[in-house]
Amino acid sequence: MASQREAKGVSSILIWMALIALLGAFGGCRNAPRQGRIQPSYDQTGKLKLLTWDRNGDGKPDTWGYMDGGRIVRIEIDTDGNGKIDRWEYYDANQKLEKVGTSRANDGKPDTWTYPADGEIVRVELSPRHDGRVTRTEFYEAGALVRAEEDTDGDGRVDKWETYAHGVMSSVAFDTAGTGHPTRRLAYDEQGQLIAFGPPRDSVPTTSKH
Amino acid sequence: MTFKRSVALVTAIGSLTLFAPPLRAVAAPAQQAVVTAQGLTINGTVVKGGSTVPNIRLRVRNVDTGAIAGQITSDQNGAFTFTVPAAGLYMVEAINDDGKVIGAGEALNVNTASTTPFITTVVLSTTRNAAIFSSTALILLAAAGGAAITTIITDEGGSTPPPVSPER
Repeated sequence: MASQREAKGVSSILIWMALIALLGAFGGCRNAPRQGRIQPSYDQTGKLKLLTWDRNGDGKPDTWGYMDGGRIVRIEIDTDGNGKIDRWEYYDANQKLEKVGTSRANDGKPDTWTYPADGEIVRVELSPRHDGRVTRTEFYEAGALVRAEEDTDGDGRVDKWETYAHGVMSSVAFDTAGTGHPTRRLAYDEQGQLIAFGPPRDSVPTTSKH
Repeated sequence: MTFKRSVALVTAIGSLTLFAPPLRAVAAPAQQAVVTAQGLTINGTVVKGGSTVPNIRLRVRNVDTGAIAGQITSDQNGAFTFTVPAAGLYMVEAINDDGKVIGAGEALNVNTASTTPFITTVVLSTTRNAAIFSSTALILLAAAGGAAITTIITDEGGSTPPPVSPER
C-alpha cells in the first residue's frame, strides 16, 4: 500500500515536471508572472541542502526548500512578498506533509503549527506570546474544534481545558491549585446556559440557569 | 437680604461646617474605594487568529458560585475593562449573538491585595480550512526539475549522487 502511494507520488512528480517542461517549451502562460530560476546549494560532499526560488519572479527569493539530498525537509515561503517568511511546511521522512507553520503576527517567526491527518486538520499548536513556546493546543475532529488545552500562565503545565460541541463551548475547566489537574469545571448546554459548576468530580448542577 | 438674614445664613453655613464630618473622613473611603476598584478590575482583550476582535459580548462569571457578575462588550480595539463587585475567582466568557459561549479567558483570582488590574485574554476559536495543507513540494520539485537537477528527486536511498547543475 505504502509503496503504491510512493509510486503514485513519484508518478505525480514526473507528470508535474512534464507539464512544466511543456509549458516552458511552448511558451504557455505568457501573461503569468515570470518565475525566477531555482538556485540549488550543496554541502561539501555535493549533497543538495537548499533550493532557493524566486517563485513570483520579482527578482527576490521567496521560497526556500531545505533539502537532505533528494528529500525535502522543510519549505519556507514568503507568500505576501513582504520580505518575511510566513509559511513553513515540514515534511517527514516519507515526504508527507507533517505540519504547516504560519505566523499570525507576520513577524517572520512561526507561532501556529497545523497538523494534518488524511487531509483534515487534527491538531493546531499555538504560541500566543510569539516566543516559539506552544501554550495552547487545539484538537479537531472532522475539521471541527472539539477540545483545547492551554497553559495560561506559561509555567509549562496545562491549566485550562475546553471542550466544544457544534462550534460552541460545552465546558471549561481550570487548574487553580497548580496541580496539573482540573480543580474547577463549568459546563454549558447548547444554548450557552451554565448547567454545572464546581470541582470536576462533583460538579454542582445549577438549580437555576445562569 | 437683610443684615439679620445674612448673619443667620453665615451661621448656618458655619454650623454645617463645624458639625460636618472632617473632610479627610469623607475623602478616606473615596480614596479607599479607588484602591479597591483598581484591585478588583479586570482588563482584557478578545483575540481570534492573532487579531483583536471588537464588539464581542462578554460575561464575567464567578467560577465558584457560577453567578454572572456582569456583562460588557469589547471596544473597537477588542479591549474591555470590568470591575467585579467582590474578590473571588472569576472568568470572562465570550458569547455570540445567540448567547452561546464561544470562548473563555483564564480563571483569575481577583483580590484586593493587588494594586494593578488583572489581565486576561479571551481566545476565540478560529475557523480553520484544510486548504492550508496544499503542499508546495511538488511545485518546487517540478520547478527544480526544470533547473536540471532532476536526478535527485527520484532518489530514495538517501545516498544522493552529487547533482549536476548549471549553477555549480
